[in-house]
Amino acid sequence: MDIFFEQYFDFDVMRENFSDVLDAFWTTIQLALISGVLALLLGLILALLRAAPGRRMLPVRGLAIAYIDLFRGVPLLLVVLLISGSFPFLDFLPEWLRAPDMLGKPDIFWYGVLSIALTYGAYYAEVYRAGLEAVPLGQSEAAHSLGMSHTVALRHVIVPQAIRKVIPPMLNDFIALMKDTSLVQVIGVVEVVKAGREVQAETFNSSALTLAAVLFVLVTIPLARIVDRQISRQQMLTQRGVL
Amino acid sequence: MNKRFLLFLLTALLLLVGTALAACGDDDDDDGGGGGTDTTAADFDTLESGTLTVGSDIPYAPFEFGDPPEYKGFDVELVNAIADNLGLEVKFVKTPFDVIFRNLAQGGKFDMVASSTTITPEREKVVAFSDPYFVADQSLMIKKGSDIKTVDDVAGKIVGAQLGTTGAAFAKDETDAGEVRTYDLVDDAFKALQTGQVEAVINDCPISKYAERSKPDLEVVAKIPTGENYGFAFEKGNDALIEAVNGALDEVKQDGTYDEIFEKWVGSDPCESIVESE
Repeated sequence: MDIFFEQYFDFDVMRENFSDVLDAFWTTIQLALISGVLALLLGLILALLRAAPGRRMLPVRGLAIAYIDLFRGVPLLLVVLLISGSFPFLDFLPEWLRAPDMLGKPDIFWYGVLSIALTYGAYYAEVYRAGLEAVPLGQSEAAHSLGMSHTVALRHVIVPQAIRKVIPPMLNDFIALMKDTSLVQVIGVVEVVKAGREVQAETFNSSALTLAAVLFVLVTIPLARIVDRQISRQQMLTQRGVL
Repeated sequence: MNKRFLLFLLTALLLLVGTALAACGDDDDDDGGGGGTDTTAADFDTLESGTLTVGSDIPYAPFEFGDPPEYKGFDVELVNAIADNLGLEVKFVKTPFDVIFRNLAQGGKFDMVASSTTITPEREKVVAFSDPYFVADQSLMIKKGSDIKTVDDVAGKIVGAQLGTTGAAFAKDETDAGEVRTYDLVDDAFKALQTGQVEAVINDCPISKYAERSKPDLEVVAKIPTGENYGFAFEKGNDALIEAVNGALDEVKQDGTYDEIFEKWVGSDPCESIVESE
């Protein structure tokens, strides 16, 4: 049992490597925020494409469904490896896309962002879909009878209500996304878990990993609490009979 | 059959399969009372009596690679020869390099580590080493067409290495590299070199030289004479086993077996002809 505490709770090791681990955690946060925003946007687009009405839109719906199936089916780690391994060789891509060195972040960072956004976009698409379907049919009927076109009805009536309904699962997926950023370490991005492992390899002590876990929890728990409060406030305002 | 019964059956089946797999997966190793039966060996213990359990980061060609259970390579054959000498069977346990010393030091996982491991003072704080059995240098590998020729040329550039190796330590402490990227497997570092994500790889010379065979677009352009010694690693305090292995290593060197293995896997020093770079 002593070995356990020595290995995972050595405060000297934690202190000595604190700034390295913290720097890497900042990378984790950046990865999560940028990929998260992109995934949210992509997911909404996919969900709307998937729900496009009419026979003419059948190929569009089909493509959206195929995309969602593909990226929900392939593990994120594989997507990361496939993208970073293949992009440099895809001649038809312009140079800035093949080895994107933008905003001071190296190409591997952007491969990571792309992989996470593409994958979580698929998950978010399904969450949006559930939200859209949960909006009562009466809403769109009323909108149409008021003369709104499909697009206008979506923008002003349906989508706002849908989004409000799906905030909890959205948040869950975002927390999952934030944890999944650790997968990009395999292509060389030093995010917080990798930083912990580098300390482990050099000091033969695993306490930096414990530190990484603490940092994660420090961020995800307050996030969850904030949104819990948002939900109950919203419920109080919009639903009768709920206290 | 109704739905509920079906669900119950499925759950029961899964639990059953799961338990069965768990039960036959791990063979519980009891404390070995296995002794050496050889003339030079003192009495030593191994985790499993009669077997030398060896941890190794496989693949790291040409020292340890191939498919289980018959791995190939310099370390593999040398370990086999030593174990033979001591009257022991060998069991290799694949372990990632970045945790190999930690796992060894914690005890209970393997008797010894044979993984092209360099003897360093930092490592000697947590594990004990046998006598050196190989002299290696680090090397600088680039993709053909690069204008990096010496270690000084990597200043400000991105260098790749394997996590936890002396190559990674050298890159971080002794070069002016702009960034040192560590990878779990050395092959990942080579791959990154091929795709241009890193501009050089610093790794043990024999391994990088061997990799040139399967990756003709990569080239070892300079040798970094660190004169590192590989040693087998043991749990600290396991003196009896260390002594036995040292004895066996000595005999293997003297009876020509070592030279045979060296000739087969390393040949004439592949790194001899490479330009030295300070």
